[in-house]
Amino acid sequence: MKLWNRFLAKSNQETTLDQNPAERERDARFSAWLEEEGTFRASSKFQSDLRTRLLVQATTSPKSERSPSFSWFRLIPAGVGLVALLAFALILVSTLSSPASVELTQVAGNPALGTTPDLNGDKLNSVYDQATEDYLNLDETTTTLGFAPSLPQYLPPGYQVENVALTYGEPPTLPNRVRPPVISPIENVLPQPHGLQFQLTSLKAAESNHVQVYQLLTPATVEDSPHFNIQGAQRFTQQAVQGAVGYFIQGTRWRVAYSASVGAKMATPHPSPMLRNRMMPPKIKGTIGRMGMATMPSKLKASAKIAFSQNQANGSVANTFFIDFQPREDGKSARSLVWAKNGVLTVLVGGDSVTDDELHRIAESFKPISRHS
Amino acid sequence: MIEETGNWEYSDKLSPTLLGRLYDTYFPRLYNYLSYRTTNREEAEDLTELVFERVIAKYHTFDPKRGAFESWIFTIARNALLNHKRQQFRHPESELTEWFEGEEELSPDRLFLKQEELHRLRHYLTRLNERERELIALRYGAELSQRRVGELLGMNEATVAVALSRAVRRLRVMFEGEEQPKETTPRKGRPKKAGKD
Repeated sequence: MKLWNRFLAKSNQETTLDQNPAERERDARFSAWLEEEGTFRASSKFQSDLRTRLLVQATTSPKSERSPSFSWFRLIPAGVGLVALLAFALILVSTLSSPASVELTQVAGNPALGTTPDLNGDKLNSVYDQATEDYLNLDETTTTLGFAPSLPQYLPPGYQVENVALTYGEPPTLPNRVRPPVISPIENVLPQPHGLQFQLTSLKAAESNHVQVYQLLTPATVEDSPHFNIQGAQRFTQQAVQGAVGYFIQGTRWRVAYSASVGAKMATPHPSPMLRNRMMPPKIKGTIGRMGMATMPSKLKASAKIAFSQNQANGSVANTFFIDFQPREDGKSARSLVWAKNGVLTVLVGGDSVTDDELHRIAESFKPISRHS
Repeated sequence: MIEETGNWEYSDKLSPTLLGRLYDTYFPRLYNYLSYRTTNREEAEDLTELVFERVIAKYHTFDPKRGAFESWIFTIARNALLNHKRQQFRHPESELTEWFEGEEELSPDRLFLKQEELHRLRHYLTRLNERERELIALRYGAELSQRRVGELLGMNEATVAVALSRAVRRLRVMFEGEEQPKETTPRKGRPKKAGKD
């Protein structure tokens, strides 16, 4: 290294000695150009996607690499290693020959075996908004949404939560996301609602192994919340979820008809926290595909139309909202579970490999919605 | 020049917030450095991602008493690059036509010119020898001080200064198309090209 330094110093001194001022001036200009203009910029899409992936990675599965250069296995004498190997083989054989039903019983339905996200249940103290790439204060988020957000306590084994985002107004065209329904204002009375959406992703990377969730404070009072029904679905069955009315829906397009009286008790998200929470329309993000996570073509497309209103005797206005859903953007049929509780409409769209039982179990594991007063 | 400390405070645990700050501070410089050292955008992106994954995995080994984070992260980048080059030895790289990301505020004409300049810059960078290219990449791509470059390359600051000026001159001469470079180390797998007239 010293030789290299000496060689460079000598040769460069010789080089620089014969430089004329014009050459030096041009070098300086080129150097300045390199500093100012010679900058390669990554695409903003790549930069934001990578940021999201890394944050998810750091949040859910922080790695702790072992040094490959040192391993205690190397200290084991060869004979001991052979005996250990034989013992391990014996254990493996005896395990495989045991009744399969025991293992299945142990695996199935054990929440502890699923990937437990850090943002789960009681640990939830902020919401990561992918749209604004920031963690939002839970209190402010609750005020903004009109209800306290919660994540399911149960996840199918191998699943994790990702892509948590707040939405407002026009649904974003985000890949791998639930598209929130749009509810048009009624006679300029109802504001566009905020929603909380997130996705449960299987790390097994099978296509369509995502469960997408969207929660929305419906423009209704608590008393009105059970009054909705499903229309236009290919198949649906009523299903109680958290003691409320819900529906299993199999279909490509369907509609929630939601009746509510809009009057003094109208549920409106608090407008004041919008600025603090930076509730701008979400930016369009790219797919999550670099960590072996499958990208799913399905989205929940939804749009809503206000169908009619009717004056009531008490001065309030009865309205029926038609909220149209298209669970998968590719037009394929999808299995969904929809229910309303305390004026919050929750839509769970199951992946191909998620059974009805698991979908129902996820739904039941949500904390009961508590509305913000 | 970005401050060596960056706009973050050291913590022994890499929280998502800290990771976000580190990412925002170092991503542009890392990507730029790796763009100086590679031949296409995909390589630079893959390596940038690899570096940050290693930062997450190895953060617990970083000791601020032993050196600056800046040196640590660019050491990771250099090692990742070295491994990548080794793997590439059997599969010579090809230069891809690409469209560099430009500033949105530039007019289309200006943007096109800038992209053309960056394309030429990357082309002539590949014609410098490894040491010169590394010096320029660390100084202008990673925006490291000459002292920091010296630390990473095991050279004293004065030597870095003269070597760098020499490398800049060679690059400038090629870039301006004044003369043929006397020393060229063309990359494997690519036909040797004459300099621009």
